[in-house]
Amino acid sequence: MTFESEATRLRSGDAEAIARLVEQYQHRLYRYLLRLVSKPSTAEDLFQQTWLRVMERIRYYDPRRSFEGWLFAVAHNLAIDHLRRKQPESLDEPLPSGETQADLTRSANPGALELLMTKERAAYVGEAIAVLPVAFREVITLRFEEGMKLEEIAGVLALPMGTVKTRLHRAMKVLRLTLEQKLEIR
Amino acid sequence: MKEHLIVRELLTLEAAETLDPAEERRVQRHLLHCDDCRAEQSEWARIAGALKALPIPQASQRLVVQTQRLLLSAASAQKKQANKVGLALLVVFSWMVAFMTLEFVRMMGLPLTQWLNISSTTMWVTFIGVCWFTSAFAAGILGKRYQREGRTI
Repeated sequence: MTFESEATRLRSGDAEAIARLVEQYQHRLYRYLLRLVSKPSTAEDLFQQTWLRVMERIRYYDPRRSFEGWLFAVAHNLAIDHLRRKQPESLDEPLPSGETQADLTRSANPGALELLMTKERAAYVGEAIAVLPVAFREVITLRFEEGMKLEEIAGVLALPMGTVKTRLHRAMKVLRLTLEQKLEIR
Repeated sequence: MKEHLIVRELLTLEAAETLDPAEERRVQRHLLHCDDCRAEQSEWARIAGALKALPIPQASQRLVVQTQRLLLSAASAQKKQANKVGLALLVVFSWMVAFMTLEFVRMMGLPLTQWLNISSTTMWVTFIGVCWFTSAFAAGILGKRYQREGRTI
């Protein structure tokens, strides 16, 4: 069954259509929200709110657009609204504020990750992502964990593609710096 | 040297597989003869690999079931609201039709009013009453049937 027919059934309140979509996206949506807000209980609340919002607004969904992108955009907006209420500091990506290319590319321990076993590496990377600013966490999650292309990420975040590309570039650099700092400490 | 710095910056996006074809070609050309950048590329590839291999937090079955129930409840509430609105519109329409029939009933019912010795207004009220009763009876049966089938108006 195509999504267009599913959307029609969802719009009419078809129970099976609703249940199918929630199950289809359960892990991916939950993971995305958890990466943004870090707390499982908050991620669960936002998970339910996202689906309620989807049901309220399904009649406005444009079938020419990917449902996945639309779903994640709804989740993104709800998560950002929640974080703005909870966190006084800006959620936008941090400004370069004087940092140089050298600052971002210097590595006290080049190839440090090579020394780690795969499982250890994943654990360190997971910890490093958790301390990144939300804007960076989000773009890394959407690209590497959700496997979205740049255009799709741009749609979710309602940003130009160029901005997404730049943000991803900076996010990865900051992630690497954070990783290497963690590895220096251990 | 400038090319080296530019390609070095592109390596993050190369690891993220987000370079456009021209950038990709530029990077691959440079990597053919730059050991430094090849080492950097390996490191970025390790980071990218680790990002793709992160464990996936699982949504609990409890959350999924709760969410589905919430949605069904919201859908049911929406249906009831739609039914109420539909019924309200029907009632308004019915009253409009009823008033529009007043003159018609007066004209057509004249012989009957004379025979029964009742006023045309009484005739009209009786006519409307019969129509309402019949409609209410039909609506009740239709409503029950729709309820059983889970349909809205």
